Amino acid sequence: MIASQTTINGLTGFQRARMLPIDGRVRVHTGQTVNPEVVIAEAALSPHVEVLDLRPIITGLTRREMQSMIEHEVGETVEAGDVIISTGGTLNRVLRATASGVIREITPTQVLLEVNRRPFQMRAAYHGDVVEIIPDRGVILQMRGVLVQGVWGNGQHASGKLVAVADRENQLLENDQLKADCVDAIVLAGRCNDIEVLRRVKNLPVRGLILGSLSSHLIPTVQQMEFPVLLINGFGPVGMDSQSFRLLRSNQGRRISAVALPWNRELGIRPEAHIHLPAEELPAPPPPREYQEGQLVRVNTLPYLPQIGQIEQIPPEPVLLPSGIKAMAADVLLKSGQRIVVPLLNLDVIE
Amino acid sequence: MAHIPSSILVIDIGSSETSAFLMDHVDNRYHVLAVGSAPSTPYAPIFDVWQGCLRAIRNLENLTGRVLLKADQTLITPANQRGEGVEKMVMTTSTGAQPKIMAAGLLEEVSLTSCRHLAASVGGQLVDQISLSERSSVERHLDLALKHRPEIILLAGGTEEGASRAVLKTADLIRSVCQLIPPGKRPVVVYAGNQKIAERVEKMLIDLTMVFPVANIRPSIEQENLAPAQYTLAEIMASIRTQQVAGLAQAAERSHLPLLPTAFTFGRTFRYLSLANPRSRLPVLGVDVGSDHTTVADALQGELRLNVLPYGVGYGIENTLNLLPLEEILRWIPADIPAAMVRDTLYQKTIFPDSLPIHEESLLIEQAFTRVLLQLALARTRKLFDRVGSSYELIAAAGKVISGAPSMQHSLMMLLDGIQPVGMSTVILDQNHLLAAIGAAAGIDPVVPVNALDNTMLPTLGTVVCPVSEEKTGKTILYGRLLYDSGEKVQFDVKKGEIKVLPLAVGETAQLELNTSYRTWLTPNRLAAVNQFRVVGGWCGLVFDGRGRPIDMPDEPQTRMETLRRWMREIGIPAQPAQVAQKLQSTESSGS
Repeated sequence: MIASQTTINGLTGFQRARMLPIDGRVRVHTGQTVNPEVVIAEAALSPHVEVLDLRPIITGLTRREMQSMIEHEVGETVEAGDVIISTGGTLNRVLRATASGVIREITPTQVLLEVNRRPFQMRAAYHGDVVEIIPDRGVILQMRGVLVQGVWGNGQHASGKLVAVADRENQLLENDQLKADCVDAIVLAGRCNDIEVLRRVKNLPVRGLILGSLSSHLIPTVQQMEFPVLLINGFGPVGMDSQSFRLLRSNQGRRISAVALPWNRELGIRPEAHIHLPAEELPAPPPPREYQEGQLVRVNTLPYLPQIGQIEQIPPEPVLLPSGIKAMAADVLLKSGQRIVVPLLNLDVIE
Repeated sequence: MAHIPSSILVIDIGSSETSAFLMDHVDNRYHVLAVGSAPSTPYAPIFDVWQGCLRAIRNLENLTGRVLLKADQTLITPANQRGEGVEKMVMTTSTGAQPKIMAAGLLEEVSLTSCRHLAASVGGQLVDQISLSERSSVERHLDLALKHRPEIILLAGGTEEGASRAVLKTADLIRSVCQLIPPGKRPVVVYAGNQKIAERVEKMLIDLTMVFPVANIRPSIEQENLAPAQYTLAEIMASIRTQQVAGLAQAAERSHLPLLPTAFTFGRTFRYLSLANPRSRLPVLGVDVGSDHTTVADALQGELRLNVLPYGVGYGIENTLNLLPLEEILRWIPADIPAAMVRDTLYQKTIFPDSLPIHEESLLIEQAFTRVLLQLALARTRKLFDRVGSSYELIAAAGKVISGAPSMQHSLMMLLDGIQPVGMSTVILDQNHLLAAIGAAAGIDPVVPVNALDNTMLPTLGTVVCPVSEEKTGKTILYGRLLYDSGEKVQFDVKKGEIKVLPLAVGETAQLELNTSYRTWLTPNRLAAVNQFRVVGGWCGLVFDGRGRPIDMPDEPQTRMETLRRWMREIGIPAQPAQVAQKLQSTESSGS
């Protein structure tokens, strides 16, 4: 079985596509180095169309017959007040644009005007180099440095100084840990289960929050937050896996990008944290591999979430689990010394 | 005489698993020889569904000993004289996002309702509904079209002798919608309205987008005719997925028939099954609980109601939790597991939808969720199609969460609690999504569903007898006698609130004589029923579910858990204490 992979790596190279959901305008060029705040593309995500009624001005004409009356054709940009249709003659009647925008359709009865709105601006989110432009949609970025992949994000991204407020990976985030050094920082903590603490985090304000885990009843709250909340391991009172926690904590004070985008396996988008480090060319990520003995793995579900261990053995036949379900599984030696049996589907290989 | 293919390979690409089914035509019948499976590979790190197909086919080769692939990994087709390869290959898929559909019609209660039925059959997300009978602004529809970018527009309206001007006016609005969206991204239009103006509608739109005229889905006010439009929509939907899912377009090129959505071929099987017994007055029901959606197929005499709902036991959990209070799920857990752990476990499953329950607590949570999911899916389907009643001649269930349960009894219990059928039904389990594969193969030869159902891959769980009763708990509601073909007789009674199982082995039949108490009925409409039945056995035997409809559960938590555990014991599932919950509770209290 092809192994599911998670990167927890102190120095790696990787590429990410940053794409608009609809066509727009790309504002960077190949070879450009971007920081996370740079606007790389923009598009009108909430368009508005105005239907301008032509019937009070002209009636009974065909599209061809009204051709000479058209001052601005389909596709042309107009400003508010611009004349779009003018009948001419002594009783000249005109149809004016009600707002600035683009004319999208002219029929004998109406004109469709797509009104200009403030475009959505997509930022780079990572510190990296533009290696490819995807026309009208976005770019491929090349990054180097620390990469810690998470499992859930609230859809936001930001960058800032990394401040760790937890000493232990399972430590609960509490109000008294949130001090002045957290202001405008990306805060690293073990877990959170208190809405009041989240409010304090918001009010400080911080730039972002990286947690091992979050109590799932807080999902609606963090989805409203305008800063990234990135979960490395998931939901529940489990905290962060030791490997991710150690790596992130050892990089305290560095500038980190918390890219808390929702995991989208189809598009290859994953919530993750990146710290840019200058490095020469780095080897490409390893190709897909099967689960194998000796691999370092992370357990993704209860009751062993988020422990890390090593695969000791993969029995050739399905194994009966304590739940009564039979599945292909691995014998895993946890770092705590405990030996457990875990379905392969519940394991991520750590790269 | 039409040529009968000697072998058919069906490949089903699911979001989690890809399966390859090999069917051979021997002795005038199709036989399903084996199924090979492998994890699907549309996502990272592979991004090519064909790789998962190849693994599933190789698995099939290992199981059957038949060579299907050449050395260069291409499929051997047609079969050669050495017996290698297959004559035909067909492909289905359930990967990819929900298609975004805009429905346009004249009347809310007529054509738009039929459009919704049609959209539900492919699990479409309705981003907007245009009805010229409502006074909504044209600008609002245009804004919504620009915002959501529908992939498909369903245009209906006008009975066969009915309105045409209003339909043409709606088509005009659709033209504007298409005009606003850049070429290449424009929605395709399925026209399923008044046939007299089909050509005019096509001419109005053809320079902007592709138009698919199909038979009127509402030829008269009283009649709904979804089947032709369903097929076209299914093809379009699969075609859209080929543009979304990595490697699917190339994979689909190898198929001898157009790629179809798995839900469509699942439904097609039930359409055929409902025709198998022309005298039946009860529908057949299929449920397929997947990771991101659940399919309900309810068919009677060839008329299929197919509903693909965005609720599942993986990615689809969140949609379900957004609709239902957590308490609904907690009610079905026979152990004292904290609500927070239940919610956390379910949300964790949305992140790792393929993960499996390791300990019993996770299993109980997952199965409780499945029960509630089934209840929701059935209720929504009944509401959508304005259908009453929950009696079925046959119930067939697919989906790993049901078919991969620790025992057949677990599977049956989830179905009884989730569907809560009334009357007498035979329940079968579709362990490998065979029913959808059979429906796909029926596109090559329509006799496949009839032949292939007699298969060990579709184990019969048993016959279930589920009365409705107004009696008090503990009162006897059924009295009966089971006469085995061996001559042995068993007398029994069933009390309100209990599940009783009589042994009746797989394939074994017996005569059941049944009497009900004064306030107990075997049909939901409380009509007197025949009291002698021929019943067939299964892995769980002959099961009497005396818990009433809806199932009456105690409100007090401890009593309710004990009741749930008793029902599990009665059907044959041993219950275990919840240890992990206690362990996690102690972690929570000490962790900070």
